[in-house]
Amino acid sequence: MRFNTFAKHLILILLLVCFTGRGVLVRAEEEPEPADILVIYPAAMNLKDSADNLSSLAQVITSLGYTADFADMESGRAEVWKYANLIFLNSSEVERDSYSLAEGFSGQLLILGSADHFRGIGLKAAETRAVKAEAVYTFPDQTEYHASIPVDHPGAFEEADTAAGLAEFSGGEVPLVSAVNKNRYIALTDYTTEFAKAVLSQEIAAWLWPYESRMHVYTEYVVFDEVYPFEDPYRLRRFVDLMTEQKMSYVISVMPIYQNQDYPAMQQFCEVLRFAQANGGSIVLHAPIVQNGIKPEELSEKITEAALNYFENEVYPLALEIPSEWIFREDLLPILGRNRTLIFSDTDAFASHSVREYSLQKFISMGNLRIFPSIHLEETGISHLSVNSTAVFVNLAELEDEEVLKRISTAKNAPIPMQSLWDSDQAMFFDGGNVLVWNGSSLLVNGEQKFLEYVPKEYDKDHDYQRNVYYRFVANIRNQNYFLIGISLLIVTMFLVMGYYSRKQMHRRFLVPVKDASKGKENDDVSG
Amino acid sequence: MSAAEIISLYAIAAIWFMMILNVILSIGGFIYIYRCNKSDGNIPMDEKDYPMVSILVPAHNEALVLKRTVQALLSFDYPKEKYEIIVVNDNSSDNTEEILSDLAASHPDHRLICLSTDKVVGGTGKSNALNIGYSIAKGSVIAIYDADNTPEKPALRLLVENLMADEKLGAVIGKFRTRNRNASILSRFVNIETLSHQCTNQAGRYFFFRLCTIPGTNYVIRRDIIEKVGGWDVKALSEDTEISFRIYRMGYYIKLLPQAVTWEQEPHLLPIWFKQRVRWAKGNIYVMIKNFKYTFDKEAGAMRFDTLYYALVYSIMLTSLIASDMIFLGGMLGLVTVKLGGFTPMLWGMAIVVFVANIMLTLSLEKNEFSLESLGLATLMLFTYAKLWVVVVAKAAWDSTLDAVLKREVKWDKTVRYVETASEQAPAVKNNG
Repeated sequence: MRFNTFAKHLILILLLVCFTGRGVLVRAEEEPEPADILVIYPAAMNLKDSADNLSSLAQVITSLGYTADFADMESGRAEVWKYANLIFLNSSEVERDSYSLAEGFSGQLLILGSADHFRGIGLKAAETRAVKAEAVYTFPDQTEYHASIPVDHPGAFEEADTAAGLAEFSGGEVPLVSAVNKNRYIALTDYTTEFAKAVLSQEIAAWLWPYESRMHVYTEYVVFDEVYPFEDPYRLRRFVDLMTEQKMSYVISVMPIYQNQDYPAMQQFCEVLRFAQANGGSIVLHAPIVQNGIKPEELSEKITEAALNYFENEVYPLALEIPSEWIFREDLLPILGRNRTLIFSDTDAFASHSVREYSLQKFISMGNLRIFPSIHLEETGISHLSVNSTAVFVNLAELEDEEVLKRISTAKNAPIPMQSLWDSDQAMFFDGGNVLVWNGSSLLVNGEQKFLEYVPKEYDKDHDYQRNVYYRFVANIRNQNYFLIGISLLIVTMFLVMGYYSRKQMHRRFLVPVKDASKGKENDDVSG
Repeated sequence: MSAAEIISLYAIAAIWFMMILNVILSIGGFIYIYRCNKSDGNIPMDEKDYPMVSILVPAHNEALVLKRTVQALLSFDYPKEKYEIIVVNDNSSDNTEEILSDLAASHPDHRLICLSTDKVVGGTGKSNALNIGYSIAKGSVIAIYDADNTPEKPALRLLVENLMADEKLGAVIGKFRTRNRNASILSRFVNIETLSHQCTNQAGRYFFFRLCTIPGTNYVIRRDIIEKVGGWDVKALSEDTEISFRIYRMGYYIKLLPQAVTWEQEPHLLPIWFKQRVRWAKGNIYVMIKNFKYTFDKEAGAMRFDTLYYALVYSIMLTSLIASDMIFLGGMLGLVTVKLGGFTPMLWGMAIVVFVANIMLTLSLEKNEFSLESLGLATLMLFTYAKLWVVVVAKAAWDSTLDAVLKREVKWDKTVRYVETASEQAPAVKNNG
């Protein structure tokens, strides 16, 4: 009896330990590390326009290399204490709740939008709400930009120790940005414009800069984007020569090639690339154009195949250019992690994902050198920001020579320094143990040193394209396809007509009553 | 262009070629059967002109089904003094002989002969049994029925009348239907397949080329032809197909008469079906190899179409279906990627539609067969039963190769019979009692 009681208690204790232990373990596994920033938005912002605002903010934060968690007022309230940095999206619709949340926060606070309700931390709001303001902001390169922006109870810290820009509206004016101690306020309510993104990038970078010294200056990369072998090699060579003459750094992003490597066009293309990489230009491999559902192993195989094809032609891509969508796919992160440098062709993916997916901690923690597209404050796309590495894309297939030259000239004259991929260490790992490493002085491909001296090669100018076989055949498939579909439709239509007549015949044979018994023999002797 | 793309192109071209060929045959078959359905098939003769017919029934352990078969044969509306039934009890170990003795005793007005063989003389297959039966046959016309058949009353008379009406005809074959259609989903597939096959291949080929392959049962053939060709080929597992080719070469036609119907029991279980179909496929491969040389012989006439057709079915169609399935599976498993310029998946969809429409057209010519159920079965067949055909032929090809290399003796596998219940039978059989 005593043993039974002891046993029961023991089992109970063991069960409790097991369940509690498991619970703790599960919690430990599920509990993610807090991001660098918590972005709190009012629940009323769960609308389409607000979603665009949040995606723009997420894009800015990610491009600066920080991570952010997003929460609405209700769910964020309990989580605030975990974070060191809080961005507060405020609007007129938000009630006084917001004030108490901000007042009790001990970290750095950045308030965006309405300045209302924050008097307790020294932020004074104008009475004006929901009006247009003429804004002006001067970037660190002393370029001044104007924009018409919406404001909502704009304000400023009464005892600001920093102020930047100006928002002028009917009834008054406030600095576009004001800061006191570790708190900062920006009068922007719409973050979707290039102007707003640029201001936010600059100000968030400054807000999070932990030192007294000047911020680190990041560089800009001029990228000749989506270059295909079938484009005019002489035109590409002209721009390569120009960049070389002007001693400008640049990148050529080449599309992956899987077939017809022996074509003279491909050989000629690689000839230009070899010349470029021997004269300061660097090559990056543009990601293959794939469907969203592609499997990681298939994608990895394609990237490897493309890289090896270029290696064979003595062209050595140093980095990978990817669409932004890939950073939202956890299954693709191992592929991204194999590249020291990633260039983003776009930032479109932020708009198609929800706030829950904006915390890209796993991606950011991989530590790649991330080069995001520059913010287009002007048509040339030249950046005036040096808060993160940016790419200025020049698409030769889309731009006329004049426009290309204008961009090159603007980039050259811009105060943002330009850099080459050769200036930093690079590494790319591929399937099958293939690896490319640039350590600042030597280039190793699978352990073998490669030299970049340009030696012109002879290539086959009388290449046999076998067009009689391949191209005609491929062209014919399209015709055959339509032909067969047409034939099928004809056959089915014919079958329907024939079927109608046979059923009519069967009806006559078996269903129509026999009036004259002497003539009805055929109805009796067929059983099929 | 990758290997997978070349294989895909081959599969697309070969499958569509074969499908269009079959569609053309189907159209011819449809027109022929449609015309036949307008009459009852009778070509009346004076009673004295009806020839003596010897009906040969090879039977090896067929006690389960033979009684019903012989009763149906005894019920023919053919003049009873003008036909004899010779059942070759081929080395049976069951009570076939006893059943036949009882039947003979109860029908003294009919000539019913039971010819029993032992394992020395018989038991080596259908061809041998037919040759033995033929040796004592008295008729100038020979009729063949399998031991599981229940022919309809007018079947023999219609076949003979048509044979006698045209001296260019070497043989006349009737239509066979599935008696146990409702036994299983497999027997339903077999039912659809046989009806479709007879319309597309048999009637279609007869319409265009005056060619038909003897189906092994429910046919009549002139005795002098059998004498000239030296009987049935004992090496052939498809003795019916084999003898058809020899009849072609003699310049005779073989006619399909769809009004002469027999009902037969088809395999309702997969292992039995598989064994039977492998035997047929092996037999057809043997015939194809034996006769392929005539494809290039201008004097072989229309028969060249048949030799070519068989060669196409067992080479191009087989390989293209295997290739197509492999590409499909490879694609599903992510092992193969095919990017063909201008190719749209709609083409595959249309291939399915044409396949099903073709079957439904052939079923529209039959009573109680054209239904939504059949439409569903025909669609299902494409993805199940039709796939098994590839396995059957691949196995037959492999076995044939081994037989040739190892010089193995060709072995006859008898199809296993069973006793049907009334619910398993097709409606027309039930109506006929």
